[in-house]
Amino acid sequence: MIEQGSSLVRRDPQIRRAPNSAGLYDVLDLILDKGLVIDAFVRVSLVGIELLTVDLRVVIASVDTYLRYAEGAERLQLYERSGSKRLGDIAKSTSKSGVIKKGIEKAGEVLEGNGRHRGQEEPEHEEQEEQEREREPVRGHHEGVAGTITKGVRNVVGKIVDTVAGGDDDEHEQEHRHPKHPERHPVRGNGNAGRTKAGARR
Amino acid sequence: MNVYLYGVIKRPDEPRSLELGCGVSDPAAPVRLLGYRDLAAAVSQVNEQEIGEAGGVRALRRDVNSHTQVLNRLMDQTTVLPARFGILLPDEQTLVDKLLEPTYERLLEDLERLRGTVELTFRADYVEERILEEVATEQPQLIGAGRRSIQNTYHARIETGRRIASAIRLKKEQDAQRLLERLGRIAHDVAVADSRSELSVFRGSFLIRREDLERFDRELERVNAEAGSRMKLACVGPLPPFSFVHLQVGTG
Repeated sequence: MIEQGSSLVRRDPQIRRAPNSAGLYDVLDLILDKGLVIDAFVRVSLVGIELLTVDLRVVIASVDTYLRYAEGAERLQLYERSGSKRLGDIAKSTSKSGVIKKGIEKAGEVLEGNGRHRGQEEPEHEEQEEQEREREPVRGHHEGVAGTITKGVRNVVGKIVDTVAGGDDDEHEQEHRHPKHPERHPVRGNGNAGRTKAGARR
Repeated sequence: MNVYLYGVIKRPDEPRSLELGCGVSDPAAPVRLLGYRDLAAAVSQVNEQEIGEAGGVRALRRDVNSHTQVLNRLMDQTTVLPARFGILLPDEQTLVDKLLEPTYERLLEDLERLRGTVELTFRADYVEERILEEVATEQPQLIGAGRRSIQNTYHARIETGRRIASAIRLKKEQDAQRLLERLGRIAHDVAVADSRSELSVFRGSFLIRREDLERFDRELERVNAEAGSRMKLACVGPLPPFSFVHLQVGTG
């Protein structure tokens, strides 16, 4: 669960990665948002766009972050007072955010999976996993209160938000690591949301 | 016959000298060059049946990958102005009329400006537990507030978190500035992107001359060593200079 930590230990001699080993997610923002454009002739099916970028647009309000920080700080405090080096506590304080991240990644993965089923070869599993690890959820700034989430993914992400708002019992963790397979087409309509992503926000 | 656009290059003296490969769609059509004066657009045809009801190129992994690969291939052989994914025109003449002819001078300028350069995307993110520890050590009063808030209300906890967040934000500004100074020195140009999470210190792209790549890597190595365990860095490239092409042709 403490993936951030473990990837830090593994220090590659070269930090820069070639794009082919990087997978799609590193360049997705670029090729969908940057480069030469002829306005009238951008003919991208919105359905496809949505499936690919939906996980980049999941928004969790700052409130959740604040609560997480506060909780993390509390745990730090507890561990200082007890005087014992219980690193587990600190790790635990971040495990919830881990769950959230994982959950959102899963949501994205599943949604994206829908886009993949039409006549494409399966991606190599290893590469896929590499991408999942690199990817991170996007918390937009002040997009509203907790639960303000891109409409299309509300049903999928709802559970995750529940975890954020609710208790921190770790039994939720299992559930989010292996989410029940949602319906085949969790995303419906609202195709325009795709165009309001990163580029439009600047 | 429809035309899907990958990018624009200088027209090669011998068109067959470039290896172009195959493009988007299924079956993938070969990529070819559409010349206009001393420019050439890399294009291919899209299977009409694939466009069909969707009304455009689907942003499928397959097609997005193809688009990227065509551009990567071109980039290895010449300077390319990459096009955004999904530009599909009804025919060759429209491409000339809408892009190549009206923006001819600008395209030439851009090709000259970007000659011999590549884009590297770069991002730096705080490691949450580390940065929280750092804030806690440097500003224990914030943590004190956190302790009191244990018995306190939801709103008090949010307030504590907000104070921690603003402490982190201050650190971020300083760290981002430092990163920009160190790495930007070697870059020909920099494009800063919006940071999209509270822990994101820097997101953006550097335009690097090929001959400076090694120097950039060495500096990146040093920056990474200094970042220690508090910041996680990621750099991807070389890529075609997507972030440094700003040409957007209107509906006109």
